[in-house]
Amino acid sequence: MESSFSQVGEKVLQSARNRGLTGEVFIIKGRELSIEVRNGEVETLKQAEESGMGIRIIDRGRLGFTFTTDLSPQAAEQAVGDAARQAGYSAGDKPYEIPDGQGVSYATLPLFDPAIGRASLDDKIGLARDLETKARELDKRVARLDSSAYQETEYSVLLMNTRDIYAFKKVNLCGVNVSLVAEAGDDVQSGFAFMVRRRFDELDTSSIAREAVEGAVDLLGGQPLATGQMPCVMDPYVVTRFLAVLAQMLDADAVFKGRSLLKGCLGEDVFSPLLTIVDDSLLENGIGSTPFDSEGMPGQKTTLVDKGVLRSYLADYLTAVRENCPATGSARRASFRSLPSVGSSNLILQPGPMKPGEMLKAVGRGFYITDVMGMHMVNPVSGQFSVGAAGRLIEGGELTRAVRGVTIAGNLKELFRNVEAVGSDLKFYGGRAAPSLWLSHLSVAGQ
Amino acid sequence: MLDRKLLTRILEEALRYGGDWAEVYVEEKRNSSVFCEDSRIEKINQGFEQGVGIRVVKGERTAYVSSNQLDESDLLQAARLAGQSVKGSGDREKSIQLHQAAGHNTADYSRPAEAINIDKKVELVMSADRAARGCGAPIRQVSIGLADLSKSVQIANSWGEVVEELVNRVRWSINAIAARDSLIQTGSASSGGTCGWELLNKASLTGQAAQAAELALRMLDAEPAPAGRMPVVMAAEAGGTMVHEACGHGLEADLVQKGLSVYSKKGALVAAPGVSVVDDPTLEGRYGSYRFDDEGSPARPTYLIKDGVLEDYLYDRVCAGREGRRDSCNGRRESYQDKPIPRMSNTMIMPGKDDPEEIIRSTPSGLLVKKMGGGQVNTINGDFVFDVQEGYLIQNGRIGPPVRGATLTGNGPRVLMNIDRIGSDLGFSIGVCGKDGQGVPVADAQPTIRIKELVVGGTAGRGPQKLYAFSGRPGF
Repeated sequence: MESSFSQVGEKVLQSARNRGLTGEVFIIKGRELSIEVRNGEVETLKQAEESGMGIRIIDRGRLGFTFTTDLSPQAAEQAVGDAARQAGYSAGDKPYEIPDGQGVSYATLPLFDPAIGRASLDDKIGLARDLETKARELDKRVARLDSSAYQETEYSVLLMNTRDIYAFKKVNLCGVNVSLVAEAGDDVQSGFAFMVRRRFDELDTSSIAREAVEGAVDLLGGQPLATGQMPCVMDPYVVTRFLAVLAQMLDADAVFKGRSLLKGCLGEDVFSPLLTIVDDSLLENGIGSTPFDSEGMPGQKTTLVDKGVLRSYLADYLTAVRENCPATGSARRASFRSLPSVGSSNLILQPGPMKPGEMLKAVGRGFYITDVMGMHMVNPVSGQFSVGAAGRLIEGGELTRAVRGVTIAGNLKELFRNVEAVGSDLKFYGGRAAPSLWLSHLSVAGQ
Repeated sequence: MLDRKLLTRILEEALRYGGDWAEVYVEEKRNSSVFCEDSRIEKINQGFEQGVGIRVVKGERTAYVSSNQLDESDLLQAARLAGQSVKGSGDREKSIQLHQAAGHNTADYSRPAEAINIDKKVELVMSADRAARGCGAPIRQVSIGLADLSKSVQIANSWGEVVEELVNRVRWSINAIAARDSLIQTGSASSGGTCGWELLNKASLTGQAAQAAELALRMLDAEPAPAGRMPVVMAAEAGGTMVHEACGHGLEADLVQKGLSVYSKKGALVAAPGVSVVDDPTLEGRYGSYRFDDEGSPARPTYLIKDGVLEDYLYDRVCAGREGRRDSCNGRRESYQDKPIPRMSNTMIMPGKDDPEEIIRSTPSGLLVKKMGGGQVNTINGDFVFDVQEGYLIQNGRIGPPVRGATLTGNGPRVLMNIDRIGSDLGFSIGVCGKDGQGVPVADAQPTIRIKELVVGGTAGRGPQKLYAFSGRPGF
């Protein structure tokens, strides 16, 4: 696999060199399997294969980019020519840069589990069926299952450039998820849970079934709250949703182009001193772990916020060179079809000392938030958010009635300043992790 | 595209293992996009992609195999894999007879995607950039994206239907950022259509760039939106995000059939009198329009709600098959990598008879929404949220000061029942609708409407008084 890739890759780079240009090629070949089960039967079985390459060409500091699913030598030559032509239209006032491979080395990380490929299709169908059965049996109020699924992906990436970057990896991942509906009288609630793992033997249908069922039944009978400001506790899942928006605000490219509230804040205590946030590409078994980013810079562990002080942005090579800030190995590509842009790998809000039970008792009365709706509408530029929310009321230090049909609103910067306490219950959701967070107040709108 | 003999062999191979029916979907597409930020063009992206998706259905089971490899042996291998995955019985030789291809596989756009080359795209974008920045000193950043797509699609199935289409799509969007002291606000605008660059004859990129910048500037002076329940007037120009979230998804047949939609009974009264909702892919050039859906069914409109009564749902072939009826030509997929499922196209609340300005005049207090952003819905209970990007307080029947930072939340069926004014105008908005991990281009539209009350999630504390007293069970 690697050698057939590097043949195509070499062809691209040679074509670039022949034209006196700098070039980079990102080649990916992968396959995906997804099995959806309903009422014990396989409803959809999907098998996809994908291969393609993305090519960056730099001509006297100007960038051109093309992508293609055709990996033939002729297509490589054509693609380089197309990208070179485009470069002529690109701005040339500030040279475009791609990483230099001199002295670069990558960590060795466990990224491939042969057990995923060895497990039979029937075993995998069995996992999805088992998840469905467990979810149904956990609570009489579970009325319907939307879907119970097993998914896996396997892919190889080769990244090479004319400045001696050569990076190859072979990766696989597997996961299960379930989506269901609980009913009590006229009231209907949905629940969803997912798990992604690097190792097949770590898949656990019981915990996912429980998470989805509890997520639904806990919200049955939900009513709104009175409008006003109140203390809130966000569960780890909700915190990770807000961390995702924070990551966009920590993108160095956004910062230096005036698209982030955090411009000029390095070294300042922007957030609560209780918060420490890191991005760790080298975390063992982390879902976002990678020895190199999507332009071949080494993956690393970066402390972004240290006890409330903003220590670093997430930067790709270009922004690091242009703005003279540290490169953090944070370039990501959504697919071979897009240019790299900044993103997190394993983004972790470090846990604190407070156990969840203690936290509720200390809050006394407040809103325990377990679900948010409309997070994709949060404005990462202004930090303003106003999203639907649901969860439970905290009364007398305990979780009481379900809450639904309210919105919470505020500004992300304020939210991460007004932290009363950080929980000890660190939970991972894909490439993001956080514990529960007690916020002194949020604006809640309901009645 | 594949020749008919090969299509036939693929379909026959796919059905050899006992499936009920099979389909081949082939795509070849070219994208081109230009992105400008900091008054600089640095991200030009052009690409080529081709792929195939082979589907075999047996009873309630669907097997779907997709690949970028279009060699005959790879295609037959993919067909075999899909065919064997439905666990049908035995060896069946079925002979497929393909009909004449329907569709247009030549360009009939007056300015097709290829008509505008990179030079011209760069020029358009730079001139829009100047227009936006010229609106005022507080404009700190403008980003503009412009893209076009030219796609050839070929669909063939085991009933012999063949469709071959050439589709163009163009889209642009502008995002402007205004800042004063530590306050940052944004304004955006976008346009798009299933058409070529003749869109430039109908919509102005520079005009919209200025609009986006002016909105960002206006929002700098806006007060935080109030919080609480209040009457809401939604202007036609706000577009139809609300109809999309409040009922669109809940009317997709797959969700209804699985018991996952709050709109569960045809014939039931689900909206106020005078409220009619139509999904229509045949509208000329709209972002959600098409001549054939992605299963090859010829496009036609569907009356979902007529004068408040639930009439019909949006069907793909699998859902239609369950009810022994014809599909509504709403089987859509993001690409050859996805199986089709019921999706919206252009979804509209139909115009009524009220004068839009009189609707505002007759509202003592509340919120006027002039621009909506995105939204999200939980179809199971009907709760939805959507983002207000431009809002104004209504005070004594007049448009008052602008407000910022509001999300509206409501419950679909309740909101549709609470529409008490329907204007005679109509405004569209475009977007990409996400469902099951696949995005499809859509347009949504509505006239100016008034909703008796919605929950507004601002940060400014209690807002204006309710128009009507609360009646019935409190809460959603």
